[in-house]
Amino acid sequence: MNLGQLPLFPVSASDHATQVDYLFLALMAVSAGIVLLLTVLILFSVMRYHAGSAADRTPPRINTRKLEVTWTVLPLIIFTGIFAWGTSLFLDREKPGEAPMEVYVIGRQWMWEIRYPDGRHEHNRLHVALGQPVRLIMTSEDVIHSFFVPALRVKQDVVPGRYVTLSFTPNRCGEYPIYCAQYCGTAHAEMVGVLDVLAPVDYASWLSAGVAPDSLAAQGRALFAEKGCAGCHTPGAAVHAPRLEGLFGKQVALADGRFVTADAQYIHDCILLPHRNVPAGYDPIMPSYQGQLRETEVIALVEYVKSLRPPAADMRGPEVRRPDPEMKQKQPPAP
Amino acid sequence: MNESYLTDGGSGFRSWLLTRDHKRIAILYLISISVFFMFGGAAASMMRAELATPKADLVTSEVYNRLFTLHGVIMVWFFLIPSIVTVLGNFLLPLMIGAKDLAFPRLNLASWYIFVLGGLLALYAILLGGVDTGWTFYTPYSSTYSNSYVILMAVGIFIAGFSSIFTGLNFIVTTHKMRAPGLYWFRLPLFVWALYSTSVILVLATPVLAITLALVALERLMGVGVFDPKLGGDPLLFQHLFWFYSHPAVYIMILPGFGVISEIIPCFARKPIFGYHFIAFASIAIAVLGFVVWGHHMFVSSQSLYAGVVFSFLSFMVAVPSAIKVFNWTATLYKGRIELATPMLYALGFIGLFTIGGLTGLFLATLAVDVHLHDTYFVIAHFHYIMVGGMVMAYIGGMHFWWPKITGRMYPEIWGQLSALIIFTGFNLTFFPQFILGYMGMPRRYHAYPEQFQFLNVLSSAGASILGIGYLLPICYLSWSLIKGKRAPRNPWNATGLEWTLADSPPTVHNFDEIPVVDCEPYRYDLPEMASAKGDIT
Amino acid sequence: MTEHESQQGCLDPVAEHLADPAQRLDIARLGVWLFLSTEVLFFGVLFLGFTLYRRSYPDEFVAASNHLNLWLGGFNTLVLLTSSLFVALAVLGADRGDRRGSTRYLAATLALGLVFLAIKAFEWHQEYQEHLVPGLNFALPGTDAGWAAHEQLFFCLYFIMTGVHAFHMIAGSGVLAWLILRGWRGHGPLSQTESIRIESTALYWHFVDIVWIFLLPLLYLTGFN
Repeated sequence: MNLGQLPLFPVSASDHATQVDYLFLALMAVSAGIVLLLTVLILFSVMRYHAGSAADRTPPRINTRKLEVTWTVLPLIIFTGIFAWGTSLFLDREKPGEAPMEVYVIGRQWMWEIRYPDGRHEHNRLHVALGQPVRLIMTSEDVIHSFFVPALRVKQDVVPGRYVTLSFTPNRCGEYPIYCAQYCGTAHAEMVGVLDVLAPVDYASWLSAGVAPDSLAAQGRALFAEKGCAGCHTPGAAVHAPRLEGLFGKQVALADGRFVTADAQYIHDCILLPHRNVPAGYDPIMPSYQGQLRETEVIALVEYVKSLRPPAADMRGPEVRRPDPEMKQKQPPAP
Repeated sequence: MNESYLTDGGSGFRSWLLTRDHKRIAILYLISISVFFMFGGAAASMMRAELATPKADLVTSEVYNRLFTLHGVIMVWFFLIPSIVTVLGNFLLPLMIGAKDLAFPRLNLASWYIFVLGGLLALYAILLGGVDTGWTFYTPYSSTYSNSYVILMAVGIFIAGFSSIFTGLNFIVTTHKMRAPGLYWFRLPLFVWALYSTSVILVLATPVLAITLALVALERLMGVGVFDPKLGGDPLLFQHLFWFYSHPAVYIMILPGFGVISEIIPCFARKPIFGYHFIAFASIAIAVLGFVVWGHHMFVSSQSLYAGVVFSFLSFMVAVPSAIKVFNWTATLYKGRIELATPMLYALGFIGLFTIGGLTGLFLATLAVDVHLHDTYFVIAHFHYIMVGGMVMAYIGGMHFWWPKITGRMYPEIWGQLSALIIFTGFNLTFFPQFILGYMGMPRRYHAYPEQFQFLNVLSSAGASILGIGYLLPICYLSWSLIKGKRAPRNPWNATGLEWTLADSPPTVHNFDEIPVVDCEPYRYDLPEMASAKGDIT
Repeated sequence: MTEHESQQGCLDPVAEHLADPAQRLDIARLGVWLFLSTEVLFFGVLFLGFTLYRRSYPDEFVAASNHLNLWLGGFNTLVLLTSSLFVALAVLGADRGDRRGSTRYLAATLALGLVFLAIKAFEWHQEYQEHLVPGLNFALPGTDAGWAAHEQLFFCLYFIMTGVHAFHMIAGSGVLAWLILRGWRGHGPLSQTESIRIESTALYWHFVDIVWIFLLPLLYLTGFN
């Protein structure tokens, strides 16, 4: 059911949005019921038991304790029910669909920068295909923003220094507003974008139109060389540094005993806050690139690391990475 | 006629500014918070004027951002939090428990001075150019990026916070140690229970705000990274600390309002309150539970999902005691002898508007729905229903109820009833459309917005002008009554409570010639002589 | 000590609004304890912040902590603990109504409190000279920006926490000085009002001492082995 025709409801552009609408309507019904009940009771009392009226005022023979308990327990039950419904819908939202298309979103004062893995980037406009699950990986370059699409009934605060994700699957073509929903300064109200959901045919033609720049991973490879990462993170390097092939998605043992998954946030932190995530068996000697790399460049590096396939002989599933014992014995290349 | 506290002890400035009388201090607070209310209201008027059109044509975004910050800061810290507590609470607490003053009268006066100092600093910050961070001061915007007088404002609020702490401390000690003989805890008026619960929150939550704002100020001053991710800090730490105070703060605002309603309804229904114990315990429950729900302001902030689930559940739980109160008040009306005097109109309006506000809180506690509604006009409508539709109505209703006691004058009843209706109408017209705007997706803190939101915004702005008139009327006729109002008898409403049965209108400096001995339960409106609300009108 | 013993101070008249001296004592005690509970929350936020960042950046915090002078910190702890002893003795004296005795002990407390503050100032001066003051001259040569930022975070919290603590010490010292002056100028046994004031100040002083007991290991002993 699409309530978009009523001027009081935004369009609903995904299944999740419709589900949220149902829950909202249920809440409305419960609330209206309670308000109506109270209004009737109050008006009834005010009119019938007005001072001076001849109504019968003998106290009713009810167990007041039971009444109190009833109207404590009944709301508790109703509230718990609503809580459960809302929670399950909320947790569902977090599950991205099958093979989601990942898009990077960078919020900055006062615009949204969209970066696709194939290297394209847009400002304030996000193109997606109808029915295609999408997973946005977002961060901010400055203050906290919030990526809000009313038509999808979702929003996510975009926080500097960390990656957050937002998943959705659009089921209706059209252009839907994107707002910034976390006050972020002077032009907060102007940080408005458009989510453009295209039918597959139109999406394909949008993809093929325009020049295809370097993919994000290719940009990352260039940065990897330019910023000197290759100086340590390649076989044969003088410095004992972790290998990056096949790293992405694996479990990593850290020096302080923790185990973490090498996801986008992990790679991001390794580059900007290396001392936070020293892998077991390595010295904390990696320099921090804080202030030397923009968030867009970090994203490119993340994509590059993601693209590095494990060496052929090492095609096992997620495992604990151990430092390569052979690395320690390599001699530095002759100057 | 006896000398009252208004004249006894001098009437020059010095006698007022150096007073230790809790009643005079209450009046000092009344004047201060009324001034602040004007400032906050002026800001709101300008905001609503700007929002009547979609484009930024009245003020620039810079000015608008400073206006909504001003509105929030002044209204929250310099009007709502003090209001009932420092005006009605200060005046009535000793009277209601049969004491001659609060435990620490000089501390009480100091609290007022501290409050005024904090307020002056805040106003000075506004005068210099204001703050544009919102009253929530989220980092790193407030700590690193904002180009406004954040430090000055933070210091002002920091100082005013101590006023809250000392007042709360004073009330707790007074309630524990200075009750009249025979006044056991369960014989106390529910207003005292409300003030007590509020004081517990004041004392425990406010220090957290103080140090949090101090950290923001120091971060701006020293350029260090407590909350700045570029220097290793965590912006979410600020949010946790801020909301750890600011959620209980909303209970600081509403609990005293509950207390006022619990006094007014039995009086004008001429019936003992239904469920005294439940209402008393509900106040304590709200104070306690209010401390563990702060994360519901942060469901989409990137806090962990499971934290979100826990906070959502607890937020539903904290709604239960409030529901209990509403049902108890409604049950009190049943088979009463109801008179629709002005205070009663405000109380009934409170029940309706608070219920709507509270129910919309459930929408926001529901995780999946909050993801859509967070930071939209739905939230604004929700908290204005509670704070303005609830708190402010309770405050004005309480002021009318105790006006004869405080000033010794009666106000013109017709004007009272008329204003109540105008306020109720104006309020709903202002804020109900905002629920719809919120679900449609209009975010908060927008000075300009897409065309499709205009119709509802115009309705809201129109309502605001009616609401403004509604607020001006009591200011006018209550002031008028000070000079021309009928002199009030000791107990014009034939109400129960030590402040009505023993103290004059207005009371003498020492409240009671002899400390009363209490030997009956409160709200004995069931006694035959209490059947009518018509007191001895001279 | 029972309530009766502690009312040994000569019972001066109570203020208008109070019923009797017992009530005056009662409200003073409850008031002070409530005030101290607000201080627990005040400091608690700082302790929480420190603990969270300590978990996030263990190595940097250990390294930063090693810059602090544990000898001075430890000695200061002894100074403060001894001053607490003296203030407790002052309370005992006040209960007996002993004006001169309790005033002397208060003076000893104040003296040690000032010693503490002097040593603290000296420590801060040392840290200033080592370029460890954020916002003023913080610099850690030989480390990269990220590491330095996290050590700076330690020092930021260090200065704020010891600074807030020192502020409380200064305020307490001011009150002690005032009490000493009044004690010196008065005659005869201490009144109940004066005795209450001394007891309240002593409670406050003990609290500030306890805060330091927690600050020392947190700041100075981080990573100490």
